[in-house]
Amino acid sequence: MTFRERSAWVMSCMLILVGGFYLKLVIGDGVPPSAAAIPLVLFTVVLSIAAQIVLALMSPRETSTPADERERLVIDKAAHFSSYVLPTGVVAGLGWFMASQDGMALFHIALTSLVVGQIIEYGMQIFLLRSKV
Amino acid sequence: MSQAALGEAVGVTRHTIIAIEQARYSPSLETSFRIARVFNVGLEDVFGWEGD
Repeated sequence: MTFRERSAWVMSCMLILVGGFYLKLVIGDGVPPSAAAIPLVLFTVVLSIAAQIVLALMSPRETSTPADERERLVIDKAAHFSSYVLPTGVVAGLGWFMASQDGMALFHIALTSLVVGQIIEYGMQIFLLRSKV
Repeated sequence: MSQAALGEAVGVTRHTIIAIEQARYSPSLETSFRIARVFNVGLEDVFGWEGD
C-alpha cells in the first residue's frame, strides 16, 4: 500500500468517526452546533496532523517524494468527482431553508456535505489507486 | 532490474510501474520514452497498442 493510499484510509476513517460523532452529539444528544463544531474541527485538525506525522515516520522516503503522474491523475479525478457533493448539499440546504426557514438545518446540511465530500474524495483516491486509471 | 529501480530511473513510483505492467495505467509519452531509453530500445519494443 502506498503512502498516499494509507493517508487516504486514515483521513477517510477519521472523518467518518469524527463526522459521525458530531452528528450523534448534535442530532442525537441535542448539543448546540456551536459548542460541538469548533472543538471537533480543532480536534480533527490536530489529529490529522498527528496521523500524517506518524505515517511520514513510517515511510520517510516515500513521504518526501512528490506525487508522480499517475498519483496526480488519481488526485485530480477524485477531487473532480467529489467536487459535486458540496455544491449539491449547499443547494439542497438553501432549498430546505427557503421552505422551512430553518437555519440550523442549512448549517447541518452544508457541514455534512463538506465532510461527505471529503470522505468521497479520499474513497475515490483509494479506489482509483487500486483500479485502472 | 527491479520495479523500484525502474521507477526511480524514470521518475515514477514502484506502484506506478506495477500499474503499467498490469495494464492498469497508460503512462505519458514522456515516461514511455524514458522507460524505453532505460532499456535502450525503441518505444514499440516496450509498448503496444491494440487499437482498430
